[in-house]
Amino acid sequence: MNTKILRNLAFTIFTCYATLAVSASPHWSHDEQATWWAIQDPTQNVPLNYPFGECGIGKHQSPIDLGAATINDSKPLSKLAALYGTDTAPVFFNSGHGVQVNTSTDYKGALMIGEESFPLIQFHFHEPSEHVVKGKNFPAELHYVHINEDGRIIVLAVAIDIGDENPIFGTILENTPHEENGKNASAGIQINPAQLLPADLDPANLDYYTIAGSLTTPPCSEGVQWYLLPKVITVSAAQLEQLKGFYTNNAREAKDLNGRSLLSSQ
Amino acid sequence: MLIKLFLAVSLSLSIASCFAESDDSKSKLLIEPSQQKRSSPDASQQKQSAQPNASTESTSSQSSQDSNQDNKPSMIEYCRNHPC
Ligand SMILES: [Zn+2]
Repeated sequence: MNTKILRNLAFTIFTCYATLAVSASPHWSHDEQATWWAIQDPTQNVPLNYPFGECGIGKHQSPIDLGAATINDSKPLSKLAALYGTDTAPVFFNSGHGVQVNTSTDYKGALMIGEESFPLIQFHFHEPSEHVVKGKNFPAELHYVHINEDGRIIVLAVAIDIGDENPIFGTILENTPHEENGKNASAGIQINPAQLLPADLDPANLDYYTIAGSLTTPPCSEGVQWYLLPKVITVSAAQLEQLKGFYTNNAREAKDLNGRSLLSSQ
Repeated sequence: MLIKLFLAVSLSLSIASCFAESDDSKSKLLIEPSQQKRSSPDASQQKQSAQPNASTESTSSQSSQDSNQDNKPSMIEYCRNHPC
């Protein structure tokens, strides 16, 4: 009788473990970014057992050193407009790697590139900045992530400097759970992501730099088009410390340009 | 008379071949209409019209959520749960 119970218990534990192993993607951290490509998923066969291989072999990886890139401003570029309205039910998310805000599923805010619309899915923060200028980083960086119907990903990046306190940034920090993978969907707080854009830029006609790149976190998928605003925003020194209280050094190092140049709208 | 008949027959044949050629010269579609899965334009209207009926509300919204999930690329769901 006891043997039977033990056998059932062992089987249950094994089944739970196996299910977890299949459904979860391998764990990664920013500390081990030099070897993200080598992280193995033993539940998959070649080449899927290296799910983050692109981090190592990709030739259009992000972020980059903006000071090292040749800027081409002679190419006519599409108009860029950040049409972000107020989200009445944002989800404040501790992703386990950073502070993130997911827009609600019926949120209509989007980035317009020419006539094309890219819905805003989430925005998150890195400390320090991921994009650097001649090796020097900014205190932090904001990434707005947009994905359209055909799966194309557009990231709008804004560098963050120390300066005036940022009220909306404060609201985000106050409502983000401190536990890893914690989600706060019932804060009852409305957020307009446009309030984080530089005040001296016209959201309906933004100047920008653009370059082909990738996700800056595993699986480092390429085919991501980056738009970088030429102006920075500020948070206070105390707010930066508060951000570091969640995660610090959650930035990927600059990657080789491999012949890419930076296109500029101005 | 024979010449007229010959001309009439050859004219009709050339017209017929013209039509046959114009059919052939149409490019083949990469995806035939029958193979295309189109998003239904009235999906959002269906969701709205399901709201007034309280008794069926939960099942209606559940089914429209399911169809929404089918249409959305999985990358959206991935980026809601990861930094991206
Ligand atoms: Zn990011």
